Amino acid sequence: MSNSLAQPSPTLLEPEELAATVALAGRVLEQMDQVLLGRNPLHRLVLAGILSRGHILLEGLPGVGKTAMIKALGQILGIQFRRVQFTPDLMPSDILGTHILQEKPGAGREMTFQPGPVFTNILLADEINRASPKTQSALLEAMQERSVTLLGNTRRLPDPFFVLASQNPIELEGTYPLPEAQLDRFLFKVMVGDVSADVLEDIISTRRRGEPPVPAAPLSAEELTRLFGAMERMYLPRAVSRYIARLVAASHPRAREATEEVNTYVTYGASPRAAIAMGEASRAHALLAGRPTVGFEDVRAVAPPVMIHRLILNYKARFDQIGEPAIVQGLLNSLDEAGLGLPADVEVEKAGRGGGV
Amino acid sequence: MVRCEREIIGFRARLGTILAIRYCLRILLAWTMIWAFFVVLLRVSAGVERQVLLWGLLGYVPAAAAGIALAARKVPSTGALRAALDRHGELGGLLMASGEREIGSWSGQIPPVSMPAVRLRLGRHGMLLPAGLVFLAASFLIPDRYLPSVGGESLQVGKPMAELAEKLKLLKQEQLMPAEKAQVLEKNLERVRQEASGKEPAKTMEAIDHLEQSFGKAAAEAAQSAVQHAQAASRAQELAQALEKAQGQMDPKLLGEAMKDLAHLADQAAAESKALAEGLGQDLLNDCRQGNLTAEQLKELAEALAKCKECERLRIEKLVQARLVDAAELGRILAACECPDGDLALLLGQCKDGGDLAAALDGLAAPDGDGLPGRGGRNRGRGDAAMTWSKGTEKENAAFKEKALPPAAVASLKQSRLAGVSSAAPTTAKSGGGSSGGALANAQAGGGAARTQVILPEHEKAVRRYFDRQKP
Repeated sequence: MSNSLAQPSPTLLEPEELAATVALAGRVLEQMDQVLLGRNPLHRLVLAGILSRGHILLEGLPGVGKTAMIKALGQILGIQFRRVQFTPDLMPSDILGTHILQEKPGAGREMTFQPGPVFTNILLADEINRASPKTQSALLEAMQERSVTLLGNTRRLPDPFFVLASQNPIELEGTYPLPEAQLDRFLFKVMVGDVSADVLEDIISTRRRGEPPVPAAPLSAEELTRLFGAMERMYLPRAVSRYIARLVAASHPRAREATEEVNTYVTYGASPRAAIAMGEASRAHALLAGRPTVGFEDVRAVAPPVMIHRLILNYKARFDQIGEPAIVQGLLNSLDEAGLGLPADVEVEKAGRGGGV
Repeated sequence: MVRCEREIIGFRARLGTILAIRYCLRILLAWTMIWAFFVVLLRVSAGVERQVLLWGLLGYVPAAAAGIALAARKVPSTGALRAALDRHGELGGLLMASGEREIGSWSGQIPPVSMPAVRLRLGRHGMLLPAGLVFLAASFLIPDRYLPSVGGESLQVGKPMAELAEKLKLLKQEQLMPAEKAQVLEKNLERVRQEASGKEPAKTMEAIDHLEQSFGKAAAEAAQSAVQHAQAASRAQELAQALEKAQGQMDPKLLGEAMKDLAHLADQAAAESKALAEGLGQDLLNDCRQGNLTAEQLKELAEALAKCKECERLRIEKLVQARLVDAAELGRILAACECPDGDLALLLGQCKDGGDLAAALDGLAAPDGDGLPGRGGRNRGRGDAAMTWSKGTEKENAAFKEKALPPAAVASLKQSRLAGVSSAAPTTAKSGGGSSGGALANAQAGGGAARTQVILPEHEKAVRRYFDRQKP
């Protein structure tokens, strides 16, 4: 399948290089865990999204620590962080920036571009679904192209650039659900759930007024570059990329490997962008796991947050109370990762998980 | 650098075996069902014989080959097998990467991979295969009598044809029939088998009967010939044994003549039986012809003749067992094989001249049921001798003696009735016939019955009046 356009494959990370990188990532995770207690899996997922240079949509009830986590992430990574509270009357220019007529000494008046909050490294789009579609769409170019075009001028956004949006699953009155095009641009959709009573007890006993500690050892720019550089050398084997492709293809109804649930409840499956996102996220997950190559378990770990917001379900799913996570899990359970293509009555033992193909 | 190559090869072999079993099982099951269906169909509709349908067994060979070929096509690629091993060993993609690129120092960190277990769930097909085999067996075991009439398409003549084939084989084996004729009969037998039709069963049965008669005729001729051989051998054996005993008591001249007769009989027996000729040997026969046989040679000759008879008896036994000839033939051959011992030796020892010798040997030439009719001898010869007439009986002075019958006899002759015709001389009843009715019923004539007879009361007056009449 190789062709002339294929990028040259960089050398694998040496064990020492990988150990140093994993230590860096571990430092980030450790500080995040200190800021937000009891959220390690969430932190790993968010960090994987950041390492994949993807945008993340956080969905959870108010007060579960979404904003605090993103703010702490910006501090730990040592990059600029801005927050925009999305409201129905928020205009695109409030995010992207605008041209204003400015008096300049000796040069008269001229239109000067006043950058919006999007010109930052991490943009927290709080309650993004409360803004109008027009304002939501203003982020499309920024998220995909990492640039802003106004009055014919295209301006690059800082590198790295991430949008970490949050939305509230309740209080849907007066909200504008994100369009599919917008949703598709998010690498992950992560559900921020409740924490246990023990964690709550820790929070109450260690935090006055809930104020999180300030991260003590933020990454330097060089360390962040090293972290992203390591991502470039993560190797995705052909069999794993084939698995990702089959997984995404099977999310479409009437596909060859589609499950019964997909055929029944899914109207539209995941896009090719989902496959790309899954590949990148799998690399990041493997890096955090301390491996130079991507395995099937990495794909299985990142597949739900990559796919759940990309599946469009029909009314039957709503009636039968079937959600996207169940459908994605069904796909993961039904597909043979190695693609042996064996008949259903021939079973190959799988380590750790039991069962057959 | 490719790692775990041996494990990959082993895994491929294991998967290939399981897949071959799976596909072979399914295809063999399908063939079993199809075969059984056609067995039932052909047996019911066309009455095809079981032996012909057994050729379906050969279908299992291409079926198994197809299963193996299908399995070979379904065996996963090396990349997929490596990915499966990577997954099984939880190697996180290292093994997969090692098959695609150089992984440097990571290659030493790949742990040994254990082979994943492969299982085949037979499920529905596992149960269907025994059911298919039972169906197949049942299709073959349907009794012929339960099959509906095939409307004359074919006729089940397997059993009689097999019996005829066995008989023909025996006739050929015993050389009781010329090879050319046996070949022709064999062709006829095959033709009858092929042309046997339910539309014209009589024609087929007639052909079978004809063949059976042909075989029977050949066997009967052979049996007749065997009896003759045995008789000839018996005569020669009897004379040989007698000469062996009487050799010292006979006149040399008479002994020489008897030897010539023995040579004649031995030649006759040898001419009729090739086996005997070979058994006797040319030297013994020459000595016999020259009349120079010693006692040992005579004994040897007698034993050879006895063996010859035994061979003929065994042959008849086989024919009887094959029901080619009647069991009575066995009795005939046993009778022909009998060889009386002693009498002839005694006669030969008492011979004074050629006439006595001829009389003694006469019985040999004319045994019971053989030889010239009416020649007599010890057993009087055959009974079907032609009548010989000399001068006719003269009629002169040959008349019946006249005898006058009493009048009562004449009267009784007039009332006589024909009771039958006999060639014997007429006989007269010693006592007269009794009365058949009246007062003298059952009374014997002249026996004084009147005095002893009971007279009924109504007759007493008449009887008294008769006896009271006046004497003339």
